[in-house]
Amino acid sequence: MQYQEVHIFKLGENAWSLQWQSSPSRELLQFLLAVKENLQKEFDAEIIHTYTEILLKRVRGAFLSDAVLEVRFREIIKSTTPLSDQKANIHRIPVCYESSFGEDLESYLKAISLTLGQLIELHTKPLYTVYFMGFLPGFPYLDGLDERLYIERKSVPSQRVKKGSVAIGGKQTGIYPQDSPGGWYTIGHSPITLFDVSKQQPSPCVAGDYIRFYAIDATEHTLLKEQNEIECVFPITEVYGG
Amino acid sequence: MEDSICILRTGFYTSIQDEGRFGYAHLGIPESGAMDKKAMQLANRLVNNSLDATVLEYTLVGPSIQFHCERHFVITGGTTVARLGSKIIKNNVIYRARAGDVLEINKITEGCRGYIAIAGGLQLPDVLESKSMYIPITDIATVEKEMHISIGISTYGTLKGARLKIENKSQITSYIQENTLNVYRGPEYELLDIEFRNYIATSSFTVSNLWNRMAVQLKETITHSIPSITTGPVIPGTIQLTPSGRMMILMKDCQTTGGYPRILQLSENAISILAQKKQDDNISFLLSGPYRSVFHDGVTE
Repeated sequence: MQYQEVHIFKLGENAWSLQWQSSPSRELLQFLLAVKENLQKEFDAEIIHTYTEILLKRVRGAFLSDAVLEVRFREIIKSTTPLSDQKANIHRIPVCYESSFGEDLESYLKAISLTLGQLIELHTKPLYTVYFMGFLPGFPYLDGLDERLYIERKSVPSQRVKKGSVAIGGKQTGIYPQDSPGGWYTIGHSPITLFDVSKQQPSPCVAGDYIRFYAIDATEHTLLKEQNEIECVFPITEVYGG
Repeated sequence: MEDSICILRTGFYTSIQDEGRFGYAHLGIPESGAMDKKAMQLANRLVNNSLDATVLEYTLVGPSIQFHCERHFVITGGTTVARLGSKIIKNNVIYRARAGDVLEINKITEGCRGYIAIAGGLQLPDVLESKSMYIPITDIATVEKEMHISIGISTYGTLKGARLKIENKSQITSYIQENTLNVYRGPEYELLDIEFRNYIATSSFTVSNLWNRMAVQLKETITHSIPSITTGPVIPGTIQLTPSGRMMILMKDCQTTGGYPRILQLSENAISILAQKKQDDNISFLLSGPYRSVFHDGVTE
């Protein structure tokens, strides 16, 4: 079985970290999600995951010793098979790739020597996997950026990246659900909402979902933005595969 | 009229806090909650609230509040200069306010965060199962002038013997003066060389001008060549080492994930101690032994 080699680490008094050495991949993600599901059945704890790690925090009601807990974690990991990956939601996110909407667009294109057309093609082509959420409420960490779009993070971060900004930094691309400081290049803007605390499900995305960007022009952007101001517009969601 | 209090003056940074927001870290939502959990729980215990009842947390300079109902209350945490009308109010002592009374809280003279617990607790709608303030989960980050806050039904004095007697108050609150923080190894502790480990274990550190509910950064810098990590989970009390060589101790409003090496992890008690430290205060670390895995690393059979 794959992914049996795991480093188990007690973090402070009440949390446990399970770490894998493997590279992040959709396959590893499906395995982590399955491990999380199995852990959740047995432990009263809050369990989150990132690229190659699972964290159990506030592990409660465990009258078990640390050693027994560790043995149990290993048993659960050993008996886990990855979730089947046949169906997943795709969230389609409209992006206006124009310099009035992406303040770093010009400098970004210059730095990576691509035309706007090439950038749009390379950025809208992949199906990005939502790996997990972190950094800001509803901020999705995405996997799948074309390596021709990689760029070092900006040496001086922007103090205010606007809500809805679509940006690239390092090997990652993402979309800011709220205003925030940030060190990535802003290449465009999406007029839709990615996080709304008043909704039953504040974020439309869950780990394992896909995101696909599509290009819109300024007129369409204005229209969607006005609509979004009246009532929050989440991305259009379709089911992929199955 | 509903039992309530009104904020007459907000103080420096006064927010509404309970134990925190749990179960939403997978959406990137911070825990929040009272920074000094010990002081918050002591306050609630003294007025016979449930331990996680909602309180006011103030920083450096407290608020002024008017009671619109008769209620018992207590202030805990940093030593505070306060008055109820003309009466001087001491920390950790229960008082009864009458409708119309004004509680005027001024400077904190020792520590930096204080708590007001009112019998019955502050009553507000939950947002994602917690009342703790955090933007954009709640609309505002701190209380506002003229804000009215409802108070629940008091159970103070309803049970004989339910009142907590503090035999030795100084014992319960002495942690506020402590400056040694108990820490455990963080997941990336192994990346530190011997010199660095000794430095951490033997030096005294200073709180920089960056200290808030998200993180406390230390002033001292250490040059190092430890690379950033793949973004991993972090929790309150995690100490990250920034590329510029500063230690950043994450507190209750911290992000849920981070890319800096996690070198140490504070004990629960140490988070309360640090919650009472402000700029230029000194701290040092006491490292507890690691949990030793019963397995060799990476080998399961």
